[in-house]
Amino acid sequence: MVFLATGYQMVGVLIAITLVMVVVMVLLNHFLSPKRTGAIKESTYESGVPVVGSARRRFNVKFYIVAMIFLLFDVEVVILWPWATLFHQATTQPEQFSKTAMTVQDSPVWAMVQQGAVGKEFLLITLAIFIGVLLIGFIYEWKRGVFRWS
Amino acid sequence: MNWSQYINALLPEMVMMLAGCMCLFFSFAAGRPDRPRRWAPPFALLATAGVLVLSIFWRNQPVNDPAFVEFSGVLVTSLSHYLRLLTLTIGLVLILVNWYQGEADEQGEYFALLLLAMSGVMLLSVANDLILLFFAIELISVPTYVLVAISRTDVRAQEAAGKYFFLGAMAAALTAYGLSLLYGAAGTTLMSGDPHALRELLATGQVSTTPMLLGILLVVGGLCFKIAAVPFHAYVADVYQGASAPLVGVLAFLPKLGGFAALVQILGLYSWGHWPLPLQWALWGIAALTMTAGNVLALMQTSVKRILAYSSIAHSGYMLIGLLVGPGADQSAFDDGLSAMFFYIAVYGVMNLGAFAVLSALTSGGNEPDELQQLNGLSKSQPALALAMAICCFSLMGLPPTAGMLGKVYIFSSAFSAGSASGWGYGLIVLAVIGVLNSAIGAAYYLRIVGQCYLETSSSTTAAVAPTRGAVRLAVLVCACSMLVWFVCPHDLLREANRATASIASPTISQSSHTAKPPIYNNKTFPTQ
Repeated sequence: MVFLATGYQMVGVLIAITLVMVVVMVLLNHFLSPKRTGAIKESTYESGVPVVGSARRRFNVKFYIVAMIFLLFDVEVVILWPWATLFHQATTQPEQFSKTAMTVQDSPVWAMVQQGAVGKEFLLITLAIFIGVLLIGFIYEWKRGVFRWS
Repeated sequence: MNWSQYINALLPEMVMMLAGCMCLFFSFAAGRPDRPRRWAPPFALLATAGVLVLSIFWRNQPVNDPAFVEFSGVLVTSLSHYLRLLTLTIGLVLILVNWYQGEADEQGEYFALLLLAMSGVMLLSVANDLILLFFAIELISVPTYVLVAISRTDVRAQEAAGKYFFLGAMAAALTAYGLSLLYGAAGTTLMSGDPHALRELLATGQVSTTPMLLGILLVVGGLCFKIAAVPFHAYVADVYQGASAPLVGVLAFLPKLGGFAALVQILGLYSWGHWPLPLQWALWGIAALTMTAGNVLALMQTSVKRILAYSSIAHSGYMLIGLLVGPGADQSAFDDGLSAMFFYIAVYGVMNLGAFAVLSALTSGGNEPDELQQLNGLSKSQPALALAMAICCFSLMGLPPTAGMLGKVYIFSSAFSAGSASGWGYGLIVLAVIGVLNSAIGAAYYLRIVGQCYLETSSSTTAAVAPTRGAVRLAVLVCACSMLVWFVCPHDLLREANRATASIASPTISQSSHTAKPPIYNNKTFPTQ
């Protein structure tokens, strides 16, 4: 049998232990716990102000669109942040920057760093493409009237 | 290597995506409702033709510098050139068939999504990295979900889009899980072309075999959804019936082409002909079941679109035979299963598109015809369209004088000639026999369509030709003619398909001289047999 695992027995042991633990916990709880019940104890736990209606109602679709756009620009900033840090290093301390990039040996950028192809120009162009794509999307949303709340 | 070379390698894909983005803006130039300006289809056609010309020029400039492969996860092979040209050429016909789709102020989005799905197939053809591969598969899939939803203002289209999306998301999850297992097994996402890539690590026994096999099986499962193979075929009939006929031409071609291209890349991680037995027989079973299920289920349908949907499942089964045969020993037309498969998928794309284009050119009470009765006596009222339908059906059936017959001959003969020689025993020959029997079953329902057109008398329910559908009729003409022309002279297409698989039989840069990079995982040992 060529496809049987060796070296994965520990995974099997882990799964077995997990299953046993779950069963033991539930059974112990069942046998050991005191069984004193009452109307208040049986009711569902709730906190906060009393609800005014069901939360499962229709929302205006605009909320979802705004949420999606927010997410888009939020993620954009998340990507910009490490970029800005690296770009600062690449402009002010280029030697330090190549050293940093060189230490990431399994990074695909490594071969390019070796050839000196990764520098501030590289960072600038990649970011320009990224922002450009987002800009096209932004103009599209704008013209589609997504930002007009009426 | 300098900047221009990095950009050159991906220029067709970049231009295609840019064209897709620009296409969005035609929705704002739609004009007044009473005088709509439909500029998106001509723009999409021009852009596709432009990228096609670009790709033809680019095919002689392979960028196979190892540093580039490593940097970008992009490997441009002869297969990439073939897939690019095939996508773009058939893409031109796809755009013609879809010319009148969508309201004027939605056409921008419609054609933008179409162009993006096409660029997804192109990106898949050059992907040499698991992450890029997954991204490209999703770039094909996600636009098609939206296209199904906006193709018709019909509750059935919404239902079809919902089913397609949720099942597609499940398939994507399977694929992603499989890819993560591959990464876990090898510690790299690079697929080939480097001493530390998956294929090379696997060849030298540095990869843990069980997660590798499990991962590949999961990825194959996810891709079975894209190519509509058993057991992930159930969505096909509902989705094809819900979507509009021109769009079904897209759905039956682009995801399928992408799925097969990805299968070739993923299964190519093992050296061809030396797959683990479970994988080999799993694919054998999938191929046999897909052919049989597609053909038998098609027999029970009364809707033309559902018949063609199940027939597209059956055709996936035939193509899987070619995939199982793999590249032939001496690259001749009759024993190279992969080039037979890539020949077949080109022929299949055109003949299937032709059948759906005929449906798109017809109308029945404001809708496209769906029931078989609506084709009654079409040969009297619309002789040209009926003839085109008959040619496409004969081709799907595999009868001469159409290219579909050659496709089947190449696929089955490759299985017969490889069957006795390889380690399969008679497995491949049995599979080819199942395939031939299935072609005979398939004849029954294709002949029903042709029979409705030619033998029945027309009635009040017979579909009439839709007014002002010039582009669709042109596409019908192109599809029907190319079926006849490819039967007479298939050499060019066959040579292209042969050249495409040459890089699979003998990978160009797998023995790379690029050794400057120290081995990353040399301090780890993997449990291997």
